[in-house]
Amino acid sequence: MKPASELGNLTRRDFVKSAAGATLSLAVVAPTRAAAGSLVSTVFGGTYEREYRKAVLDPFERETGIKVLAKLGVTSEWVTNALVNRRHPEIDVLLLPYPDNIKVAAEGIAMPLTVQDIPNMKDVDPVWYDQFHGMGVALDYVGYGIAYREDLVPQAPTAWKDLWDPAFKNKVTIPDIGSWGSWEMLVVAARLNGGGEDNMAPAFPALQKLKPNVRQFFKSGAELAQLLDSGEAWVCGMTTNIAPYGLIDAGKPVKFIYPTDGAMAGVASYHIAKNSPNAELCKTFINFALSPPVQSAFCAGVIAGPVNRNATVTEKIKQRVPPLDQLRVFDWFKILPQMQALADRWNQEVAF
Amino acid sequence: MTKAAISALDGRFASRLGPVRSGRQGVSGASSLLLLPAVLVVCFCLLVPLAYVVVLSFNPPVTGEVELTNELTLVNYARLFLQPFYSAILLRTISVSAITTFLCVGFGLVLALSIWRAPPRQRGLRVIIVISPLLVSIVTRTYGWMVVLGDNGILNTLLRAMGLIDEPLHMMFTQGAVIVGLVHVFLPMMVLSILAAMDKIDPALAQAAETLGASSFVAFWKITFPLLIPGLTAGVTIVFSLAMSSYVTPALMGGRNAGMLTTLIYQQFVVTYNWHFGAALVVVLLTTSLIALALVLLESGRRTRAWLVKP
Repeated sequence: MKPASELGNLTRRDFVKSAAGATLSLAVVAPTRAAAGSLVSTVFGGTYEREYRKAVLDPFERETGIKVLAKLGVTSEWVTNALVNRRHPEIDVLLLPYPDNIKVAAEGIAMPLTVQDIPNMKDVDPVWYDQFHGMGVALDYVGYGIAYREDLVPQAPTAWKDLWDPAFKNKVTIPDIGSWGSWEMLVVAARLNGGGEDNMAPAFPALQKLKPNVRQFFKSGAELAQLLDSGEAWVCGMTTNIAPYGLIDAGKPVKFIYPTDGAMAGVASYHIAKNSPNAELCKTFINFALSPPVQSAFCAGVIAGPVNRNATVTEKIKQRVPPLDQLRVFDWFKILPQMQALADRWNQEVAF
Repeated sequence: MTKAAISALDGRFASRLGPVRSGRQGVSGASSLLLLPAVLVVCFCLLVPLAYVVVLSFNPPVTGEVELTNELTLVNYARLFLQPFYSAILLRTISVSAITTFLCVGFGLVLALSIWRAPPRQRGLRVIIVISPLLVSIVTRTYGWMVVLGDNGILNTLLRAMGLIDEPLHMMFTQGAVIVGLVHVFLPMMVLSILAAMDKIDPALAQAAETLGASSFVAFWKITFPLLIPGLTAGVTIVFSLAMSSYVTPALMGGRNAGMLTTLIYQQFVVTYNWHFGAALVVVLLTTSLIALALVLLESGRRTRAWLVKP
């Protein structure tokens, strides 16, 4: 969920640092792993990485002496790495967004996590691990809503169905298939028309009807910000708070709302590679990340919702992230096996 | 740098059509060992991965599995060829690449002529202007085009001010925008290739034709142009294959109804993890490009055979 927009914030220095870090980690991983107690994890770049290091990684290393080598990159690359090296994993803990986290759970390369392993999970709402069938637990969440240019729209959208309003002809942008928010968009389109995870067919006639409104299918948070900023698009149909607030905080006339019929959820979640030799260290690490002080500090930094119910929620988070009861979580395990077919129909009936 | 680039391109072209000219000399004995490092690099970095992809495309599609199996099947190719959708996208990819190449040839000839005829002092400057698109990153270039072609862009503002249109023309995120973007970045390759061929032409040839009564157009068409064919061939080869395999420009400048085959390949590898079908798409794209290029090279060889052979 985050990295989409983080790409836009990734500075040259961050990149050089991460590239250097990646090279270094490659060189150092093997020898130090067994000796000093260390594990390899993944992290999204940009602001997310900065806050994650500050609130999670650095305090953890200070308190436990366990080294965490954070691997930067693209989520599909991490999943590919985990799939290809499933017998001898290179990455011990995967931190992943939808749908990559569901994918590793479904492929059986993630181990089940329980309250016995990770005591802090007792304060985490079951929705944050049940949706992975127990093979993972969320770290933080955000909501997907609608962003629009206040100064350009003839009337403000308030619900998902407003995207179909003819007043927005040629001025809506929605995620391209495979980009963050795309599967959520399909589910919303299906649900609005009497379908759902079990019956995705109604999504396609609906999206065909939406097509005259679509200016572009965006592929990243940076592209979406560009489209809204330049006025090429007035309305973004499915985005987390991150890219729009990037514009809002820069003083652009953009507004971000959660539709009256419910926001979609986006999470970053932890999954331990089943064959990892460092599983115990990984459990200690995840337990640490789920503890209330760490959750409070980290979520305040990235402006996301904490999963631990004892964590403090700042005013800014309350303003920008919906509470759990306003989120619509759906069964990703039902979507996953359909993805190939859904992508095919998307290509053939909507995008190309 | 520009001279080096030109001579490098020239060298590439010469090695492609070269055997006719220099094939007899051969490489003998110990000196052929010098080729070994290059051959090894090509084998391990190009041929082995390519062979892997080809075999992968004949394996049954299993999500998330990359290990090759002995089970060979045509199921990936059946899906590709039995659904008219994929053939349509392949055709679109070929036609976009062909139009891009055609426009590059047209603009390239004019630009190369202007550099060729420029006074020596201006030549370097003109070459730098021509290759400048290569110095700018793709994202910046796309944003630049949005400033020009966008709904609130320069072109629309101009047309509106002139009273020619009331509503902005939607030019960004279309097939046309993709072609504009591709021509913009591939034109330098074409210009440099043509220029390399031009530099070998004796300007006296065209003058002689004009002395004998040819108009300047006829002199260009009958004398200069045929001598440019080797350079054009090199340019067409480079531009066409780059256009066929371009991903970022179509992704950023194309919109609905403007997807190319590379977009689908990316999806198979990154979104749906169907690497086997993705591999089949790669093989089809590669084969199509190779066939098109073989035709170009054959035709070029036929046209230049008479004079390119040296005794």
